[in-house]
Amino acid sequence: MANTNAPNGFQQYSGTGSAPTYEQVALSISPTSSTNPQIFSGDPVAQLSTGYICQLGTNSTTNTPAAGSGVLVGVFIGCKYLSVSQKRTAWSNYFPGVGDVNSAAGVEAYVITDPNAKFIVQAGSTAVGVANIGENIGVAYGTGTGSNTNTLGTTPGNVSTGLSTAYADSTSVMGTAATYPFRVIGLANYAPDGSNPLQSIPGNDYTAAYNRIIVSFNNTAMKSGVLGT
Amino acid sequence: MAVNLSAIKDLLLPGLRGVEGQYEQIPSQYDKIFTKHDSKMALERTAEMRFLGYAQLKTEGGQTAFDNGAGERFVYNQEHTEIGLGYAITRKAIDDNLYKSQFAPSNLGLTQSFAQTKEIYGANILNTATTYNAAVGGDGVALVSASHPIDGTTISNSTTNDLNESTLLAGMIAIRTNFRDQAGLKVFARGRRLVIPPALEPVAIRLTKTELRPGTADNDVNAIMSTAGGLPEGYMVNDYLTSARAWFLLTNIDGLSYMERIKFETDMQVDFTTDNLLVKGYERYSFGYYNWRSIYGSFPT
Repeated sequence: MANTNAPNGFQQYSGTGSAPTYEQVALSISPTSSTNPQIFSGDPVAQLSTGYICQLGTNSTTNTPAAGSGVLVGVFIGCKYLSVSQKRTAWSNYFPGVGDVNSAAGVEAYVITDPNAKFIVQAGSTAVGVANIGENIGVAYGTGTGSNTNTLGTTPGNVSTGLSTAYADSTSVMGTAATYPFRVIGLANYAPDGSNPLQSIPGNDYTAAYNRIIVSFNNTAMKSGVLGT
Repeated sequence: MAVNLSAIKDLLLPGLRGVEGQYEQIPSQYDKIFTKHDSKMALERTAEMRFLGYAQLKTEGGQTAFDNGAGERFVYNQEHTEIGLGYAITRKAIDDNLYKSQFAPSNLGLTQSFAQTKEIYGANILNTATTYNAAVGGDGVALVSASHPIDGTTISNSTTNDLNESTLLAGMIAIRTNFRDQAGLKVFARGRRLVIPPALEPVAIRLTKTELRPGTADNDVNAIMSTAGGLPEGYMVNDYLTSARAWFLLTNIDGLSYMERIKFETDMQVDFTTDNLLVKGYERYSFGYYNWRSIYGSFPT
Protein backbone atom coordinates (compact mmCIF):
# COMPACT_ATOMS: atom_id res chain seq x y z
CA MET A 1 0.00 0.00 0.00
CA ALA A 2 1.27 3.44 -0.86
CA ASN A 3 2.42 5.59 2.01
CA THR A 4 1.17 9.13 2.41
CA ASN A 5 3.41 12.15 2.18
CA ALA A 6 2.40 13.93 5.39
CA PRO A 7 5.57 14.47 7.42
CA ASN A 8 5.19 15.50 11.04
CA GLY A 9 8.73 15.70 12.28
CA PHE A 10 10.80 13.51 14.57
CA GLN A 11 9.03 11.68 17.39
CA GLN A 12 11.07 10.00 20.09
CA TYR A 13 10.42 6.33 19.92
CA SER A 14 12.82 4.62 22.29
CA GLY A 15 16.37 4.73 23.49
CA THR A 16 19.51 2.83 22.61
CA GLY A 17 21.20 0.79 25.28
CA SER A 18 19.88 2.30 28.47
CA ALA A 19 16.19 2.86 29.06
CA PRO A 20 15.27 6.39 28.00
CA THR A 21 13.87 8.83 30.53
CA TYR A 22 12.45 11.05 27.82
CA GLU A 23 14.21 13.95 29.42
CA GLN A 24 13.44 17.35 27.99
CA VAL A 25 16.34 19.75 28.26
CA ALA A 26 15.56 23.44 28.71
CA LEU A 27 17.28 25.67 26.15
CA SER A 28 16.54 29.18 24.99
CA ILE A 29 14.99 30.74 21.93
CA SER A 30 15.86 34.33 21.20
CA PRO A 31 12.92 36.46 22.41
CA THR A 32 13.92 39.38 20.21
CA SER A 33 15.24 38.05 16.93
CA SER A 34 12.69 38.64 14.22
CA THR A 35 14.48 36.46 11.70
CA ASN A 36 13.06 32.99 11.20
CA PRO A 37 11.92 32.55 14.78
CA GLN A 38 9.33 29.80 14.46
CA ILE A 39 10.06 26.30 15.75
CA PHE A 40 7.57 23.42 15.66
CA SER A 41 7.18 20.31 17.75
CA GLY A 42 9.33 17.63 16.14
CA ASP A 43 11.66 20.07 14.42
CA PRO A 44 15.39 19.37 14.58
CA VAL A 45 17.03 22.41 16.10
CA ALA A 46 20.52 23.82 15.99
CA GLN A 47 22.43 25.78 18.59
CA LEU A 48 23.89 29.06 17.42
CA SER A 49 26.92 30.90 18.69
CA THR A 50 24.51 33.21 20.50
CA GLY A 51 23.42 30.32 22.71
CA TYR A 52 19.92 30.35 21.28
CA ILE A 53 18.41 27.59 19.22
CA CYS A 54 16.78 27.78 15.82
CA GLN A 55 15.01 25.49 13.41
CA LEU A 56 17.61 23.47 11.49
CA GLY A 57 17.98 25.08 8.09
CA THR A 58 17.43 28.66 9.18
CA ASN A 59 20.07 31.22 10.08
CA SER A 60 22.67 29.55 7.83
CA THR A 61 22.32 26.23 9.61
CA THR A 62 22.19 23.36 7.17
CA ASN A 63 22.50 19.61 7.04
CA THR A 64 26.24 19.95 6.64
CA PRO A 65 27.04 22.92 8.86
CA ALA A 66 30.10 25.03 8.27
CA ALA A 67 32.13 26.19 11.23
CA GLY A 68 30.28 28.68 13.37
CA SER A 69 26.92 28.25 11.69
CA GLY A 70 25.45 26.00 14.32
CA VAL A 71 25.05 22.29 14.56
CA LEU A 72 22.13 20.01 15.39
CA VAL A 73 21.51 19.98 19.12
CA GLY A 74 18.28 18.02 19.40
CA VAL A 75 14.59 17.84 18.62
CA PHE A 76 12.22 20.55 19.81
CA ILE A 77 9.07 19.42 21.64
CA GLY A 78 7.56 22.55 23.16
CA CYS A 79 8.17 25.80 24.94
CA LYS A 80 6.83 28.36 27.35
CA TYR A 81 6.98 32.13 27.28
CA LEU A 82 5.32 35.12 28.83
CA SER A 83 2.57 36.22 26.47
CA VAL A 84 2.09 39.97 26.16
CA SER A 85 -1.46 39.69 24.86
CA GLN A 86 -2.61 37.05 27.33
CA LYS A 87 -0.70 38.55 30.27
CA ARG A 88 0.29 35.15 31.53
CA THR A 89 2.70 32.32 30.85
CA ALA A 90 1.75 30.54 27.66
CA TRP A 91 2.66 26.93 27.03
CA SER A 92 2.79 25.86 23.43
CA ASN A 93 3.93 22.87 21.44
CA TYR A 94 5.43 25.31 18.93
CA PHE A 95 7.09 28.68 19.14
CA PRO A 96 4.97 31.04 17.07
CA GLY A 97 7.47 33.88 16.85
CA VAL A 98 8.59 36.81 18.91
CA GLY A 99 5.58 39.04 18.28
CA ASP A 100 3.73 38.11 21.45
CA VAL A 101 6.72 37.43 23.67
CA ASN A 102 7.76 39.48 26.66
CA SER A 103 11.43 39.72 25.79
CA ALA A 104 12.55 40.32 29.36
CA ALA A 105 11.14 36.98 30.45
CA GLY A 106 12.76 34.98 27.65
CA VAL A 107 11.60 31.81 26.00
CA GLU A 108 12.19 28.42 27.55
CA ALA A 109 12.37 25.70 24.93
CA TYR A 110 12.23 21.97 25.61
CA VAL A 111 14.55 19.89 23.51
CA ILE A 112 15.42 16.20 23.36
CA THR A 113 19.20 16.06 23.36
CA ASP A 114 19.70 12.47 24.57
CA PRO A 115 22.45 11.04 22.28
CA ASN A 116 20.83 7.61 22.69
CA ALA A 117 17.38 8.71 21.56
CA LYS A 118 15.71 7.03 18.61
CA PHE A 119 13.14 8.81 16.55
CA ILE A 120 10.50 7.71 14.11
CA VAL A 121 10.24 9.97 11.08
CA GLN A 122 8.88 9.93 7.57
CA ALA A 123 11.30 9.46 4.67
CA GLY A 124 11.25 11.47 1.45
CA SER A 125 10.18 10.49 -2.05
CA THR A 126 12.87 7.80 -2.19
CA ALA A 127 11.88 4.75 -0.19
CA VAL A 128 14.28 3.79 2.57
CA GLY A 129 14.78 0.04 2.53
CA VAL A 130 16.76 -2.53 4.43
CA ALA A 131 19.84 -1.74 2.35
CA ASN A 132 19.83 1.82 3.63
CA ILE A 133 20.03 0.87 7.27
CA GLY A 134 23.33 2.16 8.59
CA GLU A 135 23.50 5.10 6.23
CA ASN A 136 23.45 8.68 7.41
CA ILE A 137 20.63 10.96 6.40
CA GLY A 138 19.73 14.63 6.39
CA VAL A 139 16.61 16.67 6.98
CA ALA A 140 14.15 18.47 4.75
CA TYR A 141 10.76 20.02 5.35
CA GLY A 142 7.41 19.58 3.67
CA THR A 143 5.63 22.76 2.71
CA GLY A 144 3.64 23.96 5.67
CA THR A 145 1.87 27.01 6.97
CA GLY A 146 4.74 28.49 8.95
CA SER A 147 6.55 31.68 8.04
CA ASN A 148 10.24 30.81 8.32
CA THR A 149 12.60 31.12 5.42
CA ASN A 150 14.45 27.84 5.48
CA THR A 151 17.09 26.48 3.14
CA LEU A 152 15.70 22.96 3.60
CA GLY A 153 12.04 23.59 2.83
CA THR A 154 9.31 26.10 2.13
CA THR A 155 7.43 27.69 5.06
CA PRO A 156 7.98 24.63 7.27
CA GLY A 157 5.67 23.75 10.14
CA ASN A 158 1.94 23.53 10.66
CA VAL A 159 0.55 26.41 12.70
CA SER A 160 -2.79 24.62 13.20
CA THR A 161 -1.32 21.66 15.03
CA GLY A 162 2.01 23.13 16.04
CA LEU A 163 3.65 20.05 14.54
CA SER A 164 6.75 19.96 12.40
CA THR A 165 6.73 19.12 8.71
CA ALA A 166 10.29 17.81 8.87
CA TYR A 167 11.21 14.50 7.27
CA ALA A 168 14.34 12.51 6.66
CA ASP A 169 15.63 13.57 3.26
CA SER A 170 16.17 10.19 1.65
CA THR A 171 15.93 11.77 -1.79
CA SER A 172 19.02 13.96 -1.78
CA VAL A 173 20.84 13.69 1.55
CA MET A 174 21.43 10.02 2.30
CA GLY A 175 24.76 8.26 2.23
CA THR A 176 27.96 7.76 4.13
CA ALA A 177 28.93 11.37 4.89
CA ALA A 178 29.76 11.74 8.56
CA THR A 179 28.38 15.26 8.70
CA TYR A 180 24.78 14.23 8.06
CA PRO A 181 22.80 14.79 11.25
CA PHE A 182 20.89 11.50 11.57
CA ARG A 183 21.55 7.83 11.00
CA VAL A 184 19.08 5.25 9.73
CA ILE A 185 18.87 2.40 12.19
CA GLY A 186 15.62 0.67 11.29
CA LEU A 187 12.31 0.62 9.48
CA ALA A 188 9.03 1.12 11.29
CA ASN A 189 7.57 -2.11 12.58
CA TYR A 190 9.76 -4.40 10.53
CA ALA A 191 11.03 -7.59 12.04
CA PRO A 192 14.57 -8.58 11.07
CA ASP A 193 13.09 -11.19 8.72
CA GLY A 194 11.39 -8.44 6.72
CA SER A 195 7.83 -9.21 7.80
CA ASN A 196 5.43 -6.51 8.88
CA PRO A 197 1.78 -7.15 9.77
CA LEU A 198 1.14 -3.42 9.71
CA GLN A 199 2.33 -3.00 6.13
CA SER A 200 -1.14 -1.87 5.02
CA ILE A 201 -1.05 1.05 7.43
CA PRO A 202 0.28 4.23 5.78
CA GLY A 203 3.96 4.70 6.55
CA ASN A 204 4.78 1.06 7.10
CA ASP A 205 5.52 -0.04 3.53
CA TYR A 206 9.28 0.22 2.98
CA THR A 207 8.95 -0.60 -0.70
CA ALA A 208 7.21 2.71 -1.36
CA ALA A 209 8.14 6.34 -0.96
CA TYR A 210 7.46 8.23 2.26
CA ASN A 211 7.81 5.21 4.54
CA ARG A 212 8.51 5.75 8.20
CA ILE A 213 11.96 4.98 9.46
CA ILE A 214 13.78 4.92 12.76
CA VAL A 215 16.77 7.20 13.09
CA SER A 216 19.19 8.22 15.77
CA PHE A 217 21.45 11.25 16.12
CA ASN A 218 24.66 11.10 14.12
CA ASN A 219 26.32 14.48 13.98
CA THR A 220 25.17 16.69 16.84
CA ALA A 221 26.50 19.13 19.37
CA MET A 222 26.78 16.25 21.86
CA LYS A 223 28.25 13.68 19.51
CA SER A 224 30.52 13.83 16.50
CA GLY A 225 29.29 12.18 13.38
CA VAL A 226 30.66 8.92 12.08
CA LEU A 227 30.75 7.61 8.55
CA GLY A 228 27.72 5.69 7.39
CA THR A 229 27.95 2.18 6.11
CA MET B 1 -40.86 55.37 9.71
CA ALA B 2 -43.16 53.28 11.83
CA VAL B 3 -45.95 51.08 10.53
CA ASN B 4 -48.68 53.69 10.23
CA LEU B 5 -52.21 54.13 8.89
CA SER B 6 -51.03 54.39 5.32
CA ALA B 7 -49.39 50.98 5.62
CA ILE B 8 -52.62 49.32 6.73
CA LYS B 9 -55.11 51.52 4.89
CA ASP B 10 -57.59 48.78 4.02
CA LEU B 11 -57.64 47.46 7.56
CA LEU B 12 -59.25 50.70 8.73
CA LEU B 13 -62.67 50.00 7.25
CA PRO B 14 -65.00 47.00 7.70
CA GLY B 15 -65.85 44.71 4.83
CA LEU B 16 -62.63 42.79 4.11
CA ARG B 17 -63.31 39.10 3.53
CA GLY B 18 -59.98 38.19 5.03
CA VAL B 19 -56.39 39.24 5.70
CA GLU B 20 -53.70 36.99 4.20
CA GLY B 21 -49.94 37.02 4.27
CA GLN B 22 -48.89 34.83 7.12
CA TYR B 23 -48.41 31.16 6.31
CA GLU B 24 -47.70 27.90 7.98
CA GLN B 25 -43.99 27.63 8.58
CA ILE B 26 -41.64 24.86 7.55
CA PRO B 27 -40.99 22.64 10.56
CA SER B 28 -37.60 23.01 12.16
CA GLN B 29 -34.83 21.27 10.23
CA TYR B 30 -31.58 22.43 11.77
CA ASP B 31 -32.20 20.37 14.90
CA LYS B 32 -32.09 17.20 12.82
CA ILE B 33 -28.59 18.06 11.62
CA PHE B 34 -26.95 19.81 14.55
CA THR B 35 -26.62 18.72 18.16
CA LYS B 36 -27.94 21.33 20.54
CA HIS B 37 -25.68 22.54 23.35
CA ASP B 38 -26.27 25.24 25.93
CA SER B 39 -23.50 27.78 26.26
CA LYS B 40 -22.48 30.10 29.06
CA MET B 41 -19.50 31.77 27.42
CA ALA B 42 -18.80 34.25 24.65
CA LEU B 43 -16.58 31.79 22.87
CA GLU B 44 -16.82 28.03 23.10
CA ARG B 45 -13.70 26.07 22.30
CA THR B 46 -13.38 22.35 21.67
CA ALA B 47 -9.99 20.67 21.61
CA GLU B 48 -9.19 17.69 19.43
CA MET B 49 -6.65 15.46 21.13
CA ARG B 50 -4.36 12.81 19.80
CA PHE B 51 -4.31 9.61 21.82
CA LEU B 52 -2.03 6.63 21.25
CA GLY B 53 -1.24 5.04 17.91
CA TYR B 54 -0.64 1.41 17.10
CA ALA B 55 1.40 -0.75 19.41
CA GLN B 56 4.84 -1.43 18.01
CA LEU B 57 6.75 -4.59 17.32
CA LYS B 58 9.14 -5.55 20.09
CA THR B 59 12.13 -7.80 19.54
CA GLU B 60 13.49 -10.18 22.12
CA GLY B 61 15.44 -8.25 24.71
CA GLY B 62 14.83 -5.03 22.84
CA GLN B 63 13.32 -1.89 24.23
CA THR B 64 9.63 -1.22 24.28
CA ALA B 65 8.66 1.54 21.91
CA PHE B 66 7.09 4.58 23.48
CA ASP B 67 4.54 6.83 21.88
CA ASN B 68 4.76 10.22 23.53
CA GLY B 69 2.87 11.98 20.79
CA ALA B 70 -0.42 12.19 22.67
CA GLY B 71 -1.71 15.69 23.18
CA GLU B 72 -3.65 18.52 21.68
CA ARG B 73 -3.80 18.88 17.94
CA PHE B 74 -6.54 21.37 17.10
CA VAL B 75 -8.93 23.77 18.74
CA TYR B 76 -12.26 24.58 17.17
CA ASN B 77 -13.80 27.93 18.03
CA GLN B 78 -17.45 28.76 18.06
CA GLU B 79 -18.35 32.38 18.68
CA HIS B 80 -21.98 33.28 19.14
CA THR B 81 -23.89 35.63 16.92
CA GLU B 82 -26.41 38.17 18.11
CA ILE B 83 -29.62 38.11 16.14
CA GLY B 84 -32.18 40.86 16.50
CA LEU B 85 -35.16 42.35 14.73
CA GLY B 86 -37.72 44.94 15.77
CA TYR B 87 -40.47 47.11 14.42
CA ALA B 88 -42.39 50.21 15.42
CA ILE B 89 -46.08 50.81 14.91
CA THR B 90 -47.96 54.03 15.53
CA ARG B 91 -50.69 54.30 18.14
CA LYS B 92 -53.25 55.15 15.49
CA ALA B 93 -52.33 52.05 13.49
CA ILE B 94 -53.04 50.00 16.58
CA ASP B 95 -56.20 51.76 17.68
CA ASP B 96 -57.84 51.97 14.26
CA ASN B 97 -56.94 48.50 12.96
CA LEU B 98 -60.24 46.61 12.69
CA TYR B 99 -58.56 43.28 12.04
CA LYS B 100 -56.32 42.89 15.05
CA SER B 101 -56.79 39.14 15.23
CA GLN B 102 -55.38 38.72 11.71
CA PHE B 103 -52.78 41.52 11.85
CA ALA B 104 -51.87 41.70 15.53
CA PRO B 105 -49.87 44.83 16.30
CA SER B 106 -47.85 43.06 18.95
CA ASN B 107 -47.13 40.00 16.84
CA LEU B 108 -46.10 40.62 13.28
CA GLY B 109 -44.15 37.41 13.01
CA LEU B 110 -40.96 37.78 14.97
CA THR B 111 -41.03 34.09 15.85
CA GLN B 112 -41.20 33.06 12.23
CA SER B 113 -38.50 35.52 11.20
CA PHE B 114 -36.11 34.30 13.82
CA ALA B 115 -36.88 30.65 13.20
CA GLN B 116 -36.20 30.86 9.51
CA THR B 117 -33.10 32.97 10.02
CA LYS B 118 -31.81 30.24 12.28
CA GLU B 119 -32.42 27.66 9.58
CA ILE B 120 -30.37 29.69 7.12
CA TYR B 121 -27.53 30.14 9.55
CA GLY B 122 -27.54 26.40 10.17
CA ALA B 123 -27.68 25.45 6.51
CA ASN B 124 -24.87 27.89 5.85
CA ILE B 125 -22.48 25.52 7.62
CA LEU B 126 -23.27 22.94 4.96
CA ASN B 127 -23.51 25.41 2.08
CA THR B 128 -20.02 26.71 2.82
CA ALA B 129 -18.58 23.40 3.93
CA THR B 130 -15.80 23.48 1.36
CA THR B 131 -14.62 26.95 2.36
CA TYR B 132 -12.22 27.19 5.25
CA ASN B 133 -13.12 29.73 7.91
CA ALA B 134 -10.02 30.79 9.83
CA ALA B 135 -12.15 31.98 12.74
CA VAL B 136 -13.17 28.39 13.36
CA GLY B 137 -9.57 27.30 13.50
CA GLY B 138 -9.62 23.55 13.81
CA ASP B 139 -7.47 21.45 11.53
CA GLY B 140 -6.81 24.25 9.06
CA VAL B 141 -8.99 22.93 6.24
CA ALA B 142 -12.66 23.25 5.43
CA LEU B 143 -15.30 21.10 7.13
CA VAL B 144 -15.62 19.01 3.98
CA SER B 145 -12.15 18.49 2.60
CA ALA B 146 -10.12 15.87 0.80
CA SER B 147 -7.19 16.39 3.14
CA HIS B 148 -8.00 16.52 6.83
CA PRO B 149 -4.64 16.15 8.57
CA ILE B 150 -4.03 13.46 11.12
CA ASP B 151 -0.62 12.38 12.31
CA GLY B 152 1.25 10.99 9.35
CA THR B 153 -1.45 11.21 6.70
CA THR B 154 -4.57 12.96 5.56
CA ILE B 155 -8.17 11.77 5.32
CA SER B 156 -10.95 12.82 3.00
CA ASN B 157 -14.60 13.31 3.88
CA SER B 158 -15.30 14.77 0.51
CA THR B 159 -16.27 13.76 -3.00
CA THR B 160 -17.52 15.52 -6.09
CA ASN B 161 -19.96 12.95 -7.43
CA ASP B 162 -23.65 13.37 -8.09
CA LEU B 163 -25.95 11.38 -5.87
CA ASN B 164 -26.71 7.93 -7.19
CA GLU B 165 -26.58 4.36 -5.95
CA SER B 166 -22.87 3.82 -6.42
CA THR B 167 -21.78 7.20 -5.04
CA LEU B 168 -24.01 6.87 -1.99
CA LEU B 169 -22.66 3.40 -1.30
CA ALA B 170 -19.13 4.65 -1.87
CA GLY B 171 -19.71 7.38 0.69
CA MET B 172 -21.10 4.98 3.27
CA ILE B 173 -18.17 2.64 2.77
CA ALA B 174 -15.65 5.49 2.83
CA ILE B 175 -16.94 6.63 6.22
CA ARG B 176 -16.50 3.16 7.61
CA THR B 177 -13.18 2.50 5.94
CA ASN B 178 -11.31 5.77 6.06
CA PHE B 179 -12.32 7.65 9.17
CA ARG B 180 -9.58 7.49 11.78
CA ASP B 181 -8.64 9.29 14.95
CA GLN B 182 -5.70 11.67 15.18
CA ALA B 183 -3.29 8.83 15.84
CA GLY B 184 -4.49 6.83 12.86
CA LEU B 185 -6.66 4.24 14.61
CA LYS B 186 -9.92 3.37 12.93
CA VAL B 187 -13.01 4.76 14.63
CA PHE B 188 -16.55 3.44 14.71
CA ALA B 189 -18.02 5.75 12.11
CA ARG B 190 -21.16 4.95 10.16
CA GLY B 191 -23.45 7.00 7.98
CA ARG B 192 -26.80 7.58 9.61
CA ARG B 193 -28.71 10.18 7.61
CA LEU B 194 -28.64 11.55 4.08
CA VAL B 195 -29.18 15.32 3.85
CA ILE B 196 -30.21 16.64 0.45
CA PRO B 197 -31.69 19.71 -1.22
CA PRO B 198 -35.28 19.49 -2.51
CA ALA B 199 -34.13 18.84 -6.06
CA LEU B 200 -32.54 15.54 -5.04
CA GLU B 201 -35.51 14.16 -3.14
CA PRO B 202 -36.75 11.99 -6.03
CA VAL B 203 -33.28 10.44 -6.26
CA ALA B 204 -33.16 9.87 -2.51
CA ILE B 205 -36.61 8.25 -2.53
CA ARG B 206 -35.59 5.85 -5.25
CA LEU B 207 -32.40 4.97 -3.41
CA THR B 208 -33.73 4.55 0.11
CA LYS B 209 -37.38 3.56 -0.20
CA THR B 210 -37.06 0.39 -2.18
CA GLU B 211 -36.36 -3.13 -1.00
CA LEU B 212 -34.82 -4.10 -4.33
CA ARG B 213 -31.83 -2.62 -6.06
CA PRO B 214 -32.82 0.69 -7.60
CA GLY B 215 -32.69 1.17 -11.35
CA THR B 216 -32.35 -2.46 -12.35
CA ALA B 217 -34.67 -5.21 -13.45
CA ASP B 218 -32.85 -7.67 -11.24
CA ASN B 219 -34.14 -8.93 -7.95
CA ASP B 220 -30.98 -7.95 -6.10
CA VAL B 221 -31.63 -6.54 -2.67
CA ASN B 222 -31.05 -2.83 -2.13
CA ALA B 223 -27.59 -2.80 -0.56
CA ILE B 224 -28.03 0.77 0.67
CA MET B 225 -30.37 -0.53 3.34
CA SER B 226 -27.68 -2.67 4.94
CA THR B 227 -24.21 -1.62 3.86
CA ALA B 228 -22.17 -0.35 6.81
CA GLY B 229 -25.32 -0.45 8.92
CA GLY B 230 -27.50 1.17 6.27
CA LEU B 231 -28.88 4.63 6.83
CA PRO B 232 -30.92 4.12 10.01
CA GLU B 233 -32.30 7.64 9.92
CA GLY B 234 -33.09 7.66 6.20
CA TYR B 235 -32.91 10.93 4.36
CA MET B 236 -34.03 14.45 5.10
CA VAL B 237 -34.62 17.35 2.78
CA ASN B 238 -33.19 20.66 3.85
CA ASP B 239 -34.98 23.54 2.19
CA TYR B 240 -32.16 25.96 2.80
CA LEU B 241 -29.35 24.23 0.93
CA THR B 242 -28.25 26.48 -1.89
CA SER B 243 -26.78 23.88 -4.22
CA ALA B 244 -29.26 21.68 -6.06
CA ARG B 245 -26.64 18.94 -6.40
CA ALA B 246 -24.72 18.90 -3.13
CA TRP B 247 -25.52 16.09 -0.71
CA PHE B 248 -24.28 15.09 2.71
CA LEU B 249 -24.08 12.04 4.90
CA LEU B 250 -24.30 12.65 8.62
CA THR B 251 -22.46 10.10 10.71
CA ASN B 252 -22.94 8.72 14.20
CA ILE B 253 -20.06 10.93 15.42
CA ASP B 254 -21.07 14.11 17.18
CA GLY B 255 -19.47 17.19 15.70
CA LEU B 256 -22.00 19.55 14.16
CA SER B 257 -23.03 21.94 16.86
CA TYR B 258 -25.79 24.42 17.55
CA MET B 259 -25.00 26.36 20.71
CA GLU B 260 -27.64 28.45 22.37
CA ARG B 261 -26.31 31.32 24.46
CA ILE B 262 -29.52 33.31 24.97
CA LYS B 263 -32.90 31.84 24.13
CA PHE B 264 -35.25 33.73 21.85
CA GLU B 265 -36.90 36.53 23.75
CA THR B 266 -39.21 39.39 22.87
CA ASP B 267 -39.89 42.69 24.52
CA MET B 268 -42.01 45.74 23.81
CA GLN B 269 -42.49 49.22 25.09
CA VAL B 270 -44.44 52.36 24.27
CA ASP B 271 -42.28 55.31 23.36
CA PHE B 272 -43.10 58.18 25.68
CA THR B 273 -42.91 61.00 23.18
CA THR B 274 -44.43 59.40 20.06
CA ASP B 275 -46.77 56.80 21.56
CA ASN B 276 -45.32 54.37 19.03
CA LEU B 277 -45.22 50.75 20.12
CA LEU B 278 -41.72 49.31 19.76
CA VAL B 279 -41.43 45.54 19.58
CA LYS B 280 -38.23 43.59 19.23
CA GLY B 281 -36.86 40.13 19.41
CA TYR B 282 -33.39 38.96 20.36
CA GLU B 283 -31.45 35.77 20.58
CA ARG B 284 -27.84 34.73 20.59
CA TYR B 285 -26.51 31.49 19.26
CA SER B 286 -24.06 29.99 16.86
CA PHE B 287 -23.73 27.13 14.45
CA GLY B 288 -20.40 25.48 14.05
CA TYR B 289 -18.52 22.24 14.11
CA TYR B 290 -15.79 20.61 16.06
CA ASN B 291 -15.31 17.32 14.30
CA TRP B 292 -15.19 16.73 10.57
CA ARG B 293 -15.90 13.05 11.16
CA SER B 294 -19.52 13.97 11.74
CA ILE B 295 -20.15 14.53 8.06
CA TYR B 296 -19.28 13.34 4.57
CA GLY B 297 -20.12 15.72 1.77
CA SER B 298 -20.30 15.91 -1.98
CA PHE B 299 -20.21 19.08 -4.04
CA PRO B 300 -20.50 17.90 -7.67
CA THR B 301 -18.72 20.13 -10.14
